[in-house]
Amino acid sequence: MYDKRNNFRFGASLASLTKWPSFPALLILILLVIVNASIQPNFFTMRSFRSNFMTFTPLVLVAIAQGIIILSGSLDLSLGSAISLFNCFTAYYMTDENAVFIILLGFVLTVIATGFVNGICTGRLRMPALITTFATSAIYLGIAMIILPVAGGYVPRSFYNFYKGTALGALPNSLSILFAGILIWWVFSRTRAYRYIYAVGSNEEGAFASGISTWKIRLTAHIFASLFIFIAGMCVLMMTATGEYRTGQSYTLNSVAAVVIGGIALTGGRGSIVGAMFGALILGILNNIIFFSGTSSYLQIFFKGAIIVLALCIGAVPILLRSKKRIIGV
Amino acid sequence: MEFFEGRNLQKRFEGVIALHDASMRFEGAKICGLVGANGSGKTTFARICCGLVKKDSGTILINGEEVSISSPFEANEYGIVLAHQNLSLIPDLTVWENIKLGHEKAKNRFFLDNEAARRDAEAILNDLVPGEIALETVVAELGPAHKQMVEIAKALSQKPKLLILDEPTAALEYYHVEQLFKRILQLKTQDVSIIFISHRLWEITRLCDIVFVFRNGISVGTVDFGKEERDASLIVPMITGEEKHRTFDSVRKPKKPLEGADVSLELSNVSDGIKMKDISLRARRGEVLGIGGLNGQGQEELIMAVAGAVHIASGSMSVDAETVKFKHPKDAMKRGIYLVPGDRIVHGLFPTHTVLKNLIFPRLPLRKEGFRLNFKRLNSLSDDIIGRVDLVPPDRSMSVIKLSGGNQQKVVFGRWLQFMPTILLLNDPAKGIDIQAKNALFALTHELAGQGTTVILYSSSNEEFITNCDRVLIMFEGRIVDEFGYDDITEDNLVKSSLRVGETGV
Repeated sequence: MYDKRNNFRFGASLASLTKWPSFPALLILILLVIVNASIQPNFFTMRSFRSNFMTFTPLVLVAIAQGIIILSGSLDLSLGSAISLFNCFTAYYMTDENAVFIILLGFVLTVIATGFVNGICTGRLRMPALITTFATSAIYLGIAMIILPVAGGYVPRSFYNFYKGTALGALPNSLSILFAGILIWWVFSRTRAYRYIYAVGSNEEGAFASGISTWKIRLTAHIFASLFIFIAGMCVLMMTATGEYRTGQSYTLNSVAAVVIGGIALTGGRGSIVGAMFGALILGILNNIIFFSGTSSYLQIFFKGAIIVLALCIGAVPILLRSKKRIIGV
Repeated sequence: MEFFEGRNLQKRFEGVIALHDASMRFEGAKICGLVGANGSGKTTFARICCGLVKKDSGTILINGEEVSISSPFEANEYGIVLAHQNLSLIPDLTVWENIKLGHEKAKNRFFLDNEAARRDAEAILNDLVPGEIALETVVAELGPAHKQMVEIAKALSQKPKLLILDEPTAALEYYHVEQLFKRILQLKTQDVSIIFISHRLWEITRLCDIVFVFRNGISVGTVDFGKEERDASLIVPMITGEEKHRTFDSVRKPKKPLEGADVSLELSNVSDGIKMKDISLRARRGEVLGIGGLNGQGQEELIMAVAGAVHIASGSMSVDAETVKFKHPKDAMKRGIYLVPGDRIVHGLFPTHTVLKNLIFPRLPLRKEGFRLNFKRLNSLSDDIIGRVDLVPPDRSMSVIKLSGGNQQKVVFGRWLQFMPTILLLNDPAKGIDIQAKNALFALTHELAGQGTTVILYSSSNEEFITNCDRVLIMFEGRIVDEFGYDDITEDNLVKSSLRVGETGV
């Protein structure tokens, strides 16, 4: 069997590509890019490439974060609020002199909030992730509102200029940040902990029987994800160059949507982060398409929802075909 | 392993004694058989040894020293590894990832050494099942036999000194069993001790050096094949117990002439594509038909298929001489087929609701009531049922979760009494209930049978077959392998047939 695989490598890889859980997401992404290119003027110019990635980068980063958390069998509905909190905290306290220190503090805050608090609650204390992170989300948002009730604060101009700038003449800095994030993920994906995340999400009892401490792995997933949430928060801060408690809100559900469109099972253990990245790009390009199609802003939300449902349906078809066998288990 | 001893191990699960006084002791690299009937504590013993379950009392000694094992990780430190029966594999990981799971090696302290892991996994698999399982396959896509082999490979990759195999052959075909035996004998020469748990006595007599027998959580005997003959008949009496010739005549239901009765249920060559294979049977009106055998040989699937809850892949079923095809349990209920499920809390009741609601609930989907519920009538109806099943306390407003197990089961029974079932399916109805409730339930069953209901009974206890059934079918590995008429239903016959004594292989 194994020999045959090697002999027919090309055929096998084509077949396995269609079996890949991220394959539907890739197809949708390619389709949407074509649509986008046909309706957006200058889609392939440097300028729109750069401005696109300014909004795509934080979206992809939160999708990576949410993907890792969901793979471990948990969920984080608080990451949007955590980004808001980071945003308000840094913008409120930052001056030109203490910028690095404040960002470092913001980093610690994010890791504690989304990493440790959520990770301990859902992992060690076995509290249900959905409701727990919904509650912590309210706490983080509440703190953000106390710090900065009205939009404002100060962000050095250089932050904004850096984020929209390019390096080497062609590489947008926002894209470089994304590449750095992907690199971090790639390194992590080759570690023991990353494989255990799949194991715990897929079959917790089996993972325990294999000598894995399941709650520690879930905590690790949350902490590792908090790193990406921090980077996403930085991007949002540099992009908006102001503090505002509403900035992070949309990222929560967008991250979950990206993960699901990307073919990661909400029950955990199945799917790949690459799919989640595709899912995030799909959402980003979808926003573009709706914007450039000239749809009235009243209809934009409707169409966005409808297209996401459609994308999810495409992902659900193979599952539907497979689950016909048995009505209920014994 | 030089020397292993488990001494007077005890374990309770929420009041139920799983192990009462289990001991095992052997020296040197030996293949030790561990046998016993369903629920005799074999798996609990294995799980205690490998740190998955914490013992309540007793000691484990390795090479003469007392050790404490409180997690699978610690058990591995002593070289004790269990190949699980309820598989510990991760369905979404590949074969080689699973084999190395929990003890991956890293290079540069950080990155996993996947190449070495693949090589290692391949070498272990090739010793076990050469060329059959591709390393990169996701485990969810493997068949049960291959999953079991991967499970064993996973245990072997931890280089055990004491390898515990919990019913490894249950999922295997003859050819794989041979492969496994070859490997086990090889391991013995490499100084690995093996505890081999199996129901198949011919495997035990062929493979093992020494056999330990458990009954009801107590170790009742040992047979050393070094000194005694390799003969299953030495083991069987210990498994069934001394009083194997006890008679149940006093409580046995009288023999009933059924020859003239109509056939109410007929299955021909029914398979579910997974566990049930080629089931053909006929049951007549008023008959109490037992489906026996070891746990998990497809009996529950059979019952669930008749109840419309398991999809029938091939074969046909007819009820009252009419071919039927159930797509949903409600199709079966419309024909008067009612199920008393194996897990009453999960599948049988709405535990936080009142007795009344539980009793009348089936009336709603079965459209026995109009739009408005007449509670005056429903109250008196449920009081009737409560009287018939003798519910204690006879209170329809009590929530079901507060009742004892036996009374909960009376509620499950009671709600079908109001419909006069044509076929009543009982999936181990007496599990975990007291003797009075059990007698009351079977009395009701016989009453129904007397009125022409066909009863199909699956039970984990042979005594229930002996006292209640007109006929018993024995299932083994998804097939019906034996049939006993009223006069032949004895403990001896049932046990021997379940264990396939006298068989030498598939």
